[in-house]
Amino acid sequence: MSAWQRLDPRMVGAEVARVVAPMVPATAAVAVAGIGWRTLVPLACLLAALAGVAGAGLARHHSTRYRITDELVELRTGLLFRRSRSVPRERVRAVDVTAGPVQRLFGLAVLRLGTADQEAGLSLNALSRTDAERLRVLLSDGGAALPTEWPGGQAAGEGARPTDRRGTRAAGDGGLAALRPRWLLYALLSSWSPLIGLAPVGVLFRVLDIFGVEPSEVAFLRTFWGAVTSIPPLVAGLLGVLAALLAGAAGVSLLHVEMWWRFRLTREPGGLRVRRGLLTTRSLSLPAERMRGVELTEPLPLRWGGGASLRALVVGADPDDDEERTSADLLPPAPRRVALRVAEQVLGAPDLTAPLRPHPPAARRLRLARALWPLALLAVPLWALGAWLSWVPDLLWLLAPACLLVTLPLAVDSARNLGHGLSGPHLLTRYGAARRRTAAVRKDAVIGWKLSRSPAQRRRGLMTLTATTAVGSQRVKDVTPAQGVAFAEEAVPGLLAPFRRTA
Amino acid sequence: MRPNFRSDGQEFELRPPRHPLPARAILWWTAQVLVPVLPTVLTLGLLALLIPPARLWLLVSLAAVGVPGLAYALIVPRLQYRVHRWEVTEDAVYAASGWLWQVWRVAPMSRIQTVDTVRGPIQQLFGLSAVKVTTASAAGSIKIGGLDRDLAAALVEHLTARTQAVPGEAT
Repeated sequence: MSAWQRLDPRMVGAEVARVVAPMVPATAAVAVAGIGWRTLVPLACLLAALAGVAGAGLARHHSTRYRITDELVELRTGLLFRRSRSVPRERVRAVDVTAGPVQRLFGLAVLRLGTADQEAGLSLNALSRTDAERLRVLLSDGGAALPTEWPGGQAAGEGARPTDRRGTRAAGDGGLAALRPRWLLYALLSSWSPLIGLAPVGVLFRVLDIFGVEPSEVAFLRTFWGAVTSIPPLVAGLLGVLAALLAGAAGVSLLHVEMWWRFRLTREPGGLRVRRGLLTTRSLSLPAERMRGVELTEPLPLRWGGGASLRALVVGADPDDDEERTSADLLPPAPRRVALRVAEQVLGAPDLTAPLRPHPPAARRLRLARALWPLALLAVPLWALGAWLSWVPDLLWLLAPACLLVTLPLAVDSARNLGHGLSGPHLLTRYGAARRRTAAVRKDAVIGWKLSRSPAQRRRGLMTLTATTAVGSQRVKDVTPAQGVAFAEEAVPGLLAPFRRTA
Repeated sequence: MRPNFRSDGQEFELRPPRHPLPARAILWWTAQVLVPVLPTVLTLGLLALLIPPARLWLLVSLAAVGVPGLAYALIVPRLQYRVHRWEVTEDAVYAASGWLWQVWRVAPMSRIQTVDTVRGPIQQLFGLSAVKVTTASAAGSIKIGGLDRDLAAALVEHLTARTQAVPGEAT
């Protein structure tokens, strides 16, 4: 298919619908608040802006052409300023098909091509769903033959086990995992629900602000505030926390359902495929040739609940970018054993659960010292304040030792979680207490070593070994230099050897 | 001056890289510290001279900025000089840096993507240049600062030729 093609004409309809949708509540708000210049001016501005968006959409459809040749994906856009962009197909690192609610109504989807260079990607907004899906399959092969060394060593379909163990409903088309409703509990354990609970309140005040309405003018807010101030502050505080928690839990649940509805992880020729989403559906390809390993993350509450989340380490997905991190998620927060089973199938071996080597006792002492010293330093000024100012309680300094109840167990746990190892073609690292992170990365993905020592580590005869890879740094924290260098040599023989003192 | 890699009597596992930086790198590091410190000290001193009522406080803040700043400028560049070293072998680039927090980096030739020189205004003043070796990992790049300008240019040329000769996959 080398002819220039247009986007799907229904995109114009979708753009217009997107304009109409926000108009309805805005018009309703004006009708309720009464007509005056204070409400009409924002409404008129909104109308003008949205009409502009619609016009731009029409122009965009008129002027956009794309073409897919054997080597390139080309896109031409712009009415006044003609722009053309081309992406070599072999440079495409991720292919992502999303469809928002309005687009789904019109049977449309957006195809995004990601490359290692953030600027160099492009998106086709919008195509018909069948076109988008066809192009996703076409482009995620990298335009070349299938990679010969897919870690699992299985082609599509072979990895499928329709009678799989509990926890999945893997189907016959290469299915690895599918969503279970009770995984919602793990989602609740893995996020900051109270903070999300406050978001709707913020939105309400923002909307009032846009329409120039003082919060005190709104009747129910005034009665609400009156009710709050009439009950004792402690009760009000507790109720507030409870309400925020509940609202947060509800928010997390909604978000989880929206993101992970009909989640399916399947194997397909050349890689993995993730499909998910309720209102906005996403379909992502994770090409095997871009995958370097997996990472299991266990935030403390989730770990207590026996859960974990699993992410693919994919070249090109920026590890610091939230959006891109989630795009490489292989599972929603799920039971640990499901995550481990999926990791095993993706890696081709149970490497992630291989035994890890422990770190020296000095690592534990370092962590204990880190838990103790800041608090000791905090206790002194607190005690001085108590002695100096009459209105500060004398026993305020006891706060510092009280904090030890949290920091000491965390330090012990963090020391116990430290580990590193080798299993099959993978290098394993584990660290963290509040958020434990276990990663398995292919040894041949290591593109350099970094050895570092802080003053405290130097004093205790420790160092941190960091394997730099295209999918982020893999840290082996707090090992002895001998242990660290020996491990690096074992993982990538010959790289550090010429620089060893003993050589 | 032998670099001191000893800590509590135990030697580090890696030997220091072969080549030190030119001695004027010390001047460069010192200048880097003085550029923000000196104008502040001079301004505060001038103000103390001109505004007698606030003199005490101005002199106190002058001391608060000037004493640690000058101490840092006198001591730290010399410590840095002992640690900062570099080496390029047939197969890898090896560099040590830092003084309080020490860092050793190794990147194999086969994984090097680009080699650049970077020259800030102060480095140019001292005829110095930094060589930046980039790999596919943002954390993996090695920057050797304070090299002699001509040596840096030759090094970039050598590394570019060498990385093209070594077959390798970047990621």
